Amino acid sequence: MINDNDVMREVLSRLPIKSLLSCKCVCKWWNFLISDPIFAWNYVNRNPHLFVSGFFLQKLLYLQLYPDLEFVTLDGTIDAAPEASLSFINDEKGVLIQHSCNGLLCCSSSRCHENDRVYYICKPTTKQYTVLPRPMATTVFGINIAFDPSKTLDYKVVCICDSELSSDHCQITVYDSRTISWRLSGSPFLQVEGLLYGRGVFWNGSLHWIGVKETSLRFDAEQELLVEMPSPPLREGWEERRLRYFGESRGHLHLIEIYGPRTTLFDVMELRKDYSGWS
Amino acid sequence: MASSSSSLPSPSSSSSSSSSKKLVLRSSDEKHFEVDEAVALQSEMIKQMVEDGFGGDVIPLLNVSSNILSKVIDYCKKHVDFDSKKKMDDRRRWDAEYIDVGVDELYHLIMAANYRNIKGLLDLTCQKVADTIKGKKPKQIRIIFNIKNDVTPEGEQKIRKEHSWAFE
Repeated sequence: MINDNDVMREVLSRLPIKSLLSCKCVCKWWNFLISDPIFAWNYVNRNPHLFVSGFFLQKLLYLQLYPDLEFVTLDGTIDAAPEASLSFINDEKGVLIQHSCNGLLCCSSSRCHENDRVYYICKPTTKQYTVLPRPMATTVFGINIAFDPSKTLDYKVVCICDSELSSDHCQITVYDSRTISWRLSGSPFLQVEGLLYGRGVFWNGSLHWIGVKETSLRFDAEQELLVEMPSPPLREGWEERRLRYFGESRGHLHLIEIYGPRTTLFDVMELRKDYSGWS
Repeated sequence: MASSSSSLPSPSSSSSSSSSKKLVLRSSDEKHFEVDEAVALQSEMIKQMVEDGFGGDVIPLLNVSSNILSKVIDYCKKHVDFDSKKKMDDRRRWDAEYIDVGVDELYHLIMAANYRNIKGLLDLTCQKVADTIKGKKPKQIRIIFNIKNDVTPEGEQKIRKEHSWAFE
């Protein structure tokens, strides 16, 4: 039988997902090839309908200790859906999703004092997780993953937190999966009014934070540079933007805003890849 | 098709288009095959060799036997024809018949296509293996391809549990 890695990968990558997974039982070598993250990445690229199997919908009610989690499949028939639960993470305080990026989730303990909060990086499809060391800060404003599996399987966690310099300043700290530790990145910078640190989006190699006012920021994850990015102009007569969605989809960064009482009428904008503006 | 090294060039292959350039390939069992350059260049490996200046000599293919080589040449010849005509249906029908072979021959064709880097034939043969695997149980797959089961029962249990939906 075939004994060449490349040829066997070529064969396996042509199988439908169910056949592929059951082939993990055929022999150790096949299991090894199929379990390889780079093979998995190439496989979903060949089968784009598997690229996103669905979304986690997190419902956080005020009096509830644990957030409710629902998994919404993109395609009603797909059975590749993971369990709608992050219970494989062992945290008695419950687990809250903070950010997601290309199949990885950044989670934290749910309801607890800031000092007791534990941060996790997990992969729901394989139920793997790792506990992050404590971020180097008293207050975390936003925590985000920068992960591009088409380039490398290493990831960074980018945390925007308070700065020792003054209460008007922020500091970026970066956790690198290669060094498994946090470090300061760049100098403290003045707080930006209205910036939604909790809604960062990874796209085009950078993390992006939109502001409800004029200023928005992006952080180049590779070079670790923080720069302003263009924001669409504020709607005339409004002091703040009415953001409904800010996210990445199939290589495009989108922003949806709703003004006025009619929620069925909204503006969808897309940022050009060279940051020359929104259209 | 195959000729011994003493009776070169083989009359069967030179009759079709005598004007075009020929290349001589040698199989692992020392048989010589004369083919049109266009046919041989379907193989990226041979193309590279010709570009590097090895085209004038006999090109040795150390791990391809004469019966597999003649089958591979059939494929390349036919696909040079197809490329000039662009009849997709004919091509599909011919490919389907061509690849209707046993597991052993399929294996040797794959290895030859991989070694000589013939993309079309590699696609065709790999797809055939995938089609054979598709929908079968691990046990059946092991029998068809003569694979030794080295997964422990516990290991198999673990895989089944991890992807329970795939085994329903």
